[in-house]
Amino acid sequence: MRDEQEFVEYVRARMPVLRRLAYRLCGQWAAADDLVQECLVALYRHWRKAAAAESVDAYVRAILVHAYLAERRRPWARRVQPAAEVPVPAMSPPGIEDRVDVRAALGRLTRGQRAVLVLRYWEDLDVAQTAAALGCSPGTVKSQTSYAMAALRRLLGGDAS
Amino acid sequence: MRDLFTALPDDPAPPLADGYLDRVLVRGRRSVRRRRIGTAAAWTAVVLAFAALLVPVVPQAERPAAPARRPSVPDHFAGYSTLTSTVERSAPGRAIAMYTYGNGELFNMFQPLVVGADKDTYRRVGAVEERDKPQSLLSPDGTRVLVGERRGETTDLLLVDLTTGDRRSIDLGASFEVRLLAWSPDGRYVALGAAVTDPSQGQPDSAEYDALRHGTLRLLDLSTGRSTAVPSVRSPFAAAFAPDGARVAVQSAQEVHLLDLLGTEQAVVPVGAGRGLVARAGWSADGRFLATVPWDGTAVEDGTFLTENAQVTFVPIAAGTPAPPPVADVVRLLGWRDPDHMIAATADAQGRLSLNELTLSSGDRRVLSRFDTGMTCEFHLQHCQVTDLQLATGLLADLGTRAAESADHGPWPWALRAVAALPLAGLVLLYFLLRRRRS
Repeated sequence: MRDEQEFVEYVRARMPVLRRLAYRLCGQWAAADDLVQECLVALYRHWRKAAAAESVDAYVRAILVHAYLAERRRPWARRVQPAAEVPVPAMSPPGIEDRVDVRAALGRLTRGQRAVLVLRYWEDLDVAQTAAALGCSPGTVKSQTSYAMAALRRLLGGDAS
Repeated sequence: MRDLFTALPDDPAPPLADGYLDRVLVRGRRSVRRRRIGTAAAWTAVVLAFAALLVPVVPQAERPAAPARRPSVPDHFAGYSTLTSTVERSAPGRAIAMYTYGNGELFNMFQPLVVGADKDTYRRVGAVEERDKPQSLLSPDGTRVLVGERRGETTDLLLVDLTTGDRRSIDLGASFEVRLLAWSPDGRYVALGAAVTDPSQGQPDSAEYDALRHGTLRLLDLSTGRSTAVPSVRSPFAAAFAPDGARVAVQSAQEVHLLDLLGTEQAVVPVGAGRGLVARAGWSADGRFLATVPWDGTAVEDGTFLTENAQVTFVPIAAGTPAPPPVADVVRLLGWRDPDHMIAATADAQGRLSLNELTLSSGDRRVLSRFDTGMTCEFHLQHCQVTDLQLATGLLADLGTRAAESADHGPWPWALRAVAALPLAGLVLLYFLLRRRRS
């Protein structure tokens, strides 16, 4: 019961951060909230292990990213759908088209490429932190980042730098 | 690239749905419960699998002795099973019957079986299978099997305990060609024919046959392991102990010698030409008659399919005693319930074998049990045949018939268990792998 109280306190405190990361990965708030729920259920199951980890945030981030990537391996249970198209608001503020272009391009990347770019450049994690979140080696992060950037450049018509 | 993403402001987050965290907690608790149940189930499966594999390894000497209930035969004997285990791996307890079952037309798939006297346990006698050309006797109380060798000389016999699965070697003290004849009612003595190989005859094809032609009688005391030679009785063909166990009748040529257990001859009873003493069960329950069946002077019954009926006739031991009328249509006389009732195997016109109680005074017959002689042997290519049928003669007085239940053939062979355990191990491994990926 004490574990559950600690879990609830942690979730309440970190919910905005988790939702933001999930949204950046999924591109839709509804899908992001589903992904966060998957992540939190797994976190509840392993709370003691998470609480004993060196960084609870890093542990939870890894769960969330794994849940996001795992969806591509479960064709019979695709609940989290990445945004293929981002709707443009009727009243577009200045620069909104560029943002839509980038998000649309992100939505057309593979989940792995999207995850590595979001973690490295949007969440501003270093290579080691990204590798820990993805569960791969730093070398793999570097190579996947390179491939993802090349893919994004192609999708944006060579403007990304 | 970092600048590009930094310039991407997040859309404002909508408020969380009502009860979002509560749903997380409910799903989390359910997930923990399922995980615990799954873990417990997986470990239970693992423990059960290992238990199933290891239980037969546990020594079985501590098994209780045979229960003191009324012995019985199933109303029908179980069909052929290639999965039948051995006495040595899983002791069946006291047996009511021992027979060889199967066929050898295409493959040698005969099984030397014992059938439980108290429940439907069927086991192969491993010690019989290990011999080149085996011969065996079932003890009158159904708790032991004595195993000998038909081919060549042997220096020992094997005594298999059906209540524990243990086996013991009985040293004969010298090397003989042996033919096992009969077991005394108290289980102490065994009459056997013994011969020393005659080099001038070349390699013996059948020790049993040599012992029949050239051997002499020996009385083996199982309690001491010593055997007494009775050289006066040559070429013993068949033997049967008296109901009180004090004498033994042994046929040699067309005479039956009645001897005490020291080998002293007390009487000689002539039997008619072409007749032979019924092996093991040839002395009537009242001790007054010897039962005979057709015999050509050379043939031995061992190994022949039990399909042909014959006539049993009786020879009085004391001259002037009126003999019971002959009994026709008997394949094998197997033992006696009382002076007026004998237990015999008979076959119908289609060759189907059954176990019957025959009443001497009235000629009535009552079927006690039937054998499955259908096309179920050699992978359903051949009829199953029964040979070398023996009953625990000391249990017949009180013998009943029980409704046959699901046959207990004992634990599966190790190789098959390993094959069966593989999918289970795979499922357990898969479960742990999936759980690891989910976490």
